[in-house]
Amino acid sequence: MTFAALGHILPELILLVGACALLVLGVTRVGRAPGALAGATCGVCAAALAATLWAGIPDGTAELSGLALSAMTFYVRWLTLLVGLLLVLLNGRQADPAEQGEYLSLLLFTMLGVLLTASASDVVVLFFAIELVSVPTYVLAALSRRDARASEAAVKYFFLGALSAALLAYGLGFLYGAAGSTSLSAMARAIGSGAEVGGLALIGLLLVFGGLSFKIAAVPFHAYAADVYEGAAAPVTALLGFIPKFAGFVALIRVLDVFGWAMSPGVFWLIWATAALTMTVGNILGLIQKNVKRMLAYSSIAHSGYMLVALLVGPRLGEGPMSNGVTALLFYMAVYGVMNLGAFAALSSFRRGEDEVELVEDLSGLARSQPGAALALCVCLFSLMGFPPTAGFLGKVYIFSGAFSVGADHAYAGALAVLAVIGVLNSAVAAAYYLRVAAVCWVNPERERLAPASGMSGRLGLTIAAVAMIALFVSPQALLSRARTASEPVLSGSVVKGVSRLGLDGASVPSGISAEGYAALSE
Amino acid sequence: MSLQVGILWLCVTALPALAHEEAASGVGTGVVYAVPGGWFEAVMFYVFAGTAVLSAIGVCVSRSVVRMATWLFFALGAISVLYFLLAATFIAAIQLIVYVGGVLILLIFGVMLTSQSPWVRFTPSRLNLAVAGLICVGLLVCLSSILLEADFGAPLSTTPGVTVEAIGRRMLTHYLVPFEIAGVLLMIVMVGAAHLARQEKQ
Amino acid sequence: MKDFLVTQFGFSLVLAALVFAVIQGAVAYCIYYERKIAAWTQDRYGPNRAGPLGLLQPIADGLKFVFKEDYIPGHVDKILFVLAPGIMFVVCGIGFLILPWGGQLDASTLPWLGSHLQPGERMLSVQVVSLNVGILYLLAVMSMSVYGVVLGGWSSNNKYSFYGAMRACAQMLAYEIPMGLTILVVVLTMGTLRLEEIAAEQAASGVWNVARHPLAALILFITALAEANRAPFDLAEAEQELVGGYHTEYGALKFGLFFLGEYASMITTSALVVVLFLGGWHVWGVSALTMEATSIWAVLAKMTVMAGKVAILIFVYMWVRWSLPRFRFDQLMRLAWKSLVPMSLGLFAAAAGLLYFGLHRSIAACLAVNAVVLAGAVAVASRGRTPITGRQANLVRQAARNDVPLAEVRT
Repeated sequence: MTFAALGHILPELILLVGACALLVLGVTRVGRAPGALAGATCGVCAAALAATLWAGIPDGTAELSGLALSAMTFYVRWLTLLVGLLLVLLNGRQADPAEQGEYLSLLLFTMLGVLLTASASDVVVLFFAIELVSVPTYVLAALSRRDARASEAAVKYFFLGALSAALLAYGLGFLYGAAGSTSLSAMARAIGSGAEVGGLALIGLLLVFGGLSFKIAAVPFHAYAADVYEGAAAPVTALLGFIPKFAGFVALIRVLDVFGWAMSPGVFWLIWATAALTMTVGNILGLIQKNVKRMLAYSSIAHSGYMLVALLVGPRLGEGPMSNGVTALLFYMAVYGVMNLGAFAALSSFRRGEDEVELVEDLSGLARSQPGAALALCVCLFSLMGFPPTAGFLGKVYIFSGAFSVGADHAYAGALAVLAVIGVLNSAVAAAYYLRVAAVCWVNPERERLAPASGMSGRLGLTIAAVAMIALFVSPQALLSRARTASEPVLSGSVVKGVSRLGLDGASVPSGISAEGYAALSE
Repeated sequence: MSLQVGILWLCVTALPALAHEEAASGVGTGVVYAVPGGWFEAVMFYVFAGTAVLSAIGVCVSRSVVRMATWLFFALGAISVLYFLLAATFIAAIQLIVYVGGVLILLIFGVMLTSQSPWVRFTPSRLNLAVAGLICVGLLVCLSSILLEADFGAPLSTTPGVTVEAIGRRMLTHYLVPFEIAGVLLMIVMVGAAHLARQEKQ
Repeated sequence: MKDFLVTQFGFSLVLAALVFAVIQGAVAYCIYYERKIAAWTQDRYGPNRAGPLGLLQPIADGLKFVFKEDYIPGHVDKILFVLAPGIMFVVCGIGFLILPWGGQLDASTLPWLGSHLQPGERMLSVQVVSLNVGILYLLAVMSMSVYGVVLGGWSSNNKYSFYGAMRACAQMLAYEIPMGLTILVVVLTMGTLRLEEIAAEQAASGVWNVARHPLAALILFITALAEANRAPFDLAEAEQELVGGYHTEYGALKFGLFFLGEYASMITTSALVVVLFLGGWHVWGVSALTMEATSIWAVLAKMTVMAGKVAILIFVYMWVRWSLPRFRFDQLMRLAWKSLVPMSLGLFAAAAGLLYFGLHRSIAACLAVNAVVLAGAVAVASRGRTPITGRQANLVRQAARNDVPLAEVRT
């Protein structure tokens, strides 16, 4: 690796250096000035974003050990940094002033983890990147407020996270055993696709899927979500709902890419059942929650289920955006990130006395006292519900239409259609609890006056999220075309192919296994 | 009695290391060792593989945390000897330094700080035991059925050599990025641990 | 059989058995040595009744350990209680296996055994195991010695023992870090992890590493004291506070094993310092003490020199013990984390820098680097205020709580 090559990972480097600098600044006099550190963090994010946009879509020729840059890297980079910027705004004042530096630098480190997950071409990097996403979130959950519940949340999150890391590492170990190499491209070559996948690789895949299921909070690894979301402060919960989930899905895309997306029946039905259960369990439990943060936690679980449907549809060559699972997934991830953030921003922008808003009833009559905020909150909730005119509607349309339109020649066309029906039914169930919150805001009489929380950042985040939801519904083309570009390397198998072109092990360029695997599937 | 235990352990711990160096035929010193034959390695393997498995079972069935840690000590030590037998001396030494000398000591330290007496026992409920047992049996059946059929391919290398240098070079070239990320990760863990352990301000 | 003994495997086995036997004798006489030095320091006679000059005293002590009733108190965790001294002893013993005692031996010069061999036909290494990760192995084994202390203290189910174990644990964790880092300085300088090569290199060039990195040598010596649980770092068994510390409940042979372990680790650590910094078996101007001299007599001379150097270092250990007062626990921790760790980190970084510029073997450059690190440490130390610890800290807190000046609280 040369110094010139470092230019290709400039956004990552900016985040890393910025996070380290924040750690140091936090204990100096500069860091004590109110808002200085939050401003600096925003600056770091903005600089990384600028570097990403300046570098544009990588052409995949950078020589970096263990990293392969593709169009998907670009998509993940800017989306993470953009949502990250909003998260920083939201989190700017959350921590104790003395812990501000550490708090904000941990925020930057999780983003760095997502960025590295997107460009990992070696399972060692992939594992470390996922851990880089996870470990700071455990600490953030504990630091977000001085409260026994926050500590409990952090401990639960940590132990289950450690278990998931063990599963992930165990699974990756099996994959290594099957392939004899840690590089994803060599794995793809050695493992093959479809029916030829051996038992070792299969068990590796299952364990990896289990490990990543924790990150995306899929059933049956979802149990921690409600407690952790409830225990941590709302701004951190906004982060927990998006960052680990995004990293988990990106990692799943990369791992399934190794297997060429041609799933054996066992794997297909496993993911199918997980998706169905995740949607259903998430929504049904969401229905009976009184605590609004727990409710949103279950909603976030349910959304993982929808996204798993998209993952199951997989990439399709030469089809429109409506039926390409990966494009739909990437689009939905962006929309979900923003609307989820908006909902939590709303919760953190009011205070009930000294404490955060907790119960659904606490929001009673919000529309009377603060109609603007109530409107924005409702826009985000409608989007989560998947109701026009919001971007959430489009996201769901893309996912479910993808599942319906795989075509009769697809081996599992019927199963996917059933799954889509389950998804649509679930959306209807989910509408009930989202609407309840909206009704409480608008219909119920005011119970207790909610004071606006100090600082404008929560409101700003909320406003941006609400506006973005409407805007993306009106003109989704810009985001959609980016998502399509990002999923192209997945289609042509060059996420994996690109890896060896970067000369990790000096091996020859493999044939496009992913594409072939896909072709085998559709035949 | 302690003395016998001691001598036995001394001998068995020393011998695999010897066996290894013979296989490596004295790399670097120009000393040529006579190889006593494969039976020695085989015996060593079964002794230590057995120790590892039995100790692992011991970890599971013990009810006192410190006893679990002691069993784990033997399990980890035996695994390190297996690495020695595979001529992976670097990994063997690192296994000892990191797990036996570091992680496990910290674990015991933590237990000692938080627990009151050696007589504190874990008493898992019957349900938990049953579920855990089922999971374990399932995993065992599943893994062993797959592993017995698995095709691991040809070994990547059959000649033991100096592993330290090769690992060092790979670490700073091929695996530079993960190496650096691991450093960042450790720093984060340290920041987090320091924060969580810090006393509340008065 | 005769031929087997002159293969490296057979020779190593004999050496292992020999080393094992010698440790026990050496340890017994270390205790005698210690008592004599204590007496010398305190202007007494020391043991002088059993045999001439009291030389039979260790044997009498040993017999006493063996014939005492091997009692296990009722309130202990029996398995761990018995296991702990065994672990302690074994772990301290296996460190010996890696130490290079005398370079290479030409098997043909062995009387009777080597009579059928041509000169130079078979070279044996006077070392039980020659590992390419020698130093790492030694570090690993030394870090394991804390288990004996911890398990012993824990299983005794006694508060004093427990505190001793806790202290030992924290101390061992803290001092392992500067120890490892200073050892790495030597590894960077010598470019190998094999102890025998480090010794041979120093003999070949005639420059002992202590001339290059005196500061590293000093730090290693201090940490070696701490790792061997020796005064002024013997907080795990501070008699005034903890009765016997972790071995309060032990007696007879089990106590003897703890004793043996402690002295054995003293020998191991000082042998490590000798090999890494003091040229191993090398002395200038003696032809028998070079790499080329491989006859049995040269090897015996080398072993004697090595043992002599170890004995001198052990004398320093004991001298320190009977001259310096014990640290308080917070001082102990501060010494490790706030002085030794940063200094050894600085040395390590500097040694890596020297290696980058190819100056790692240059005495002047190495000395300059050591001086800079030391000067930096002194500068930082003199800038900082004296830390407020122990009773003082309580007083300060009390003064702050009652809002009175500190002087008033003191009185």
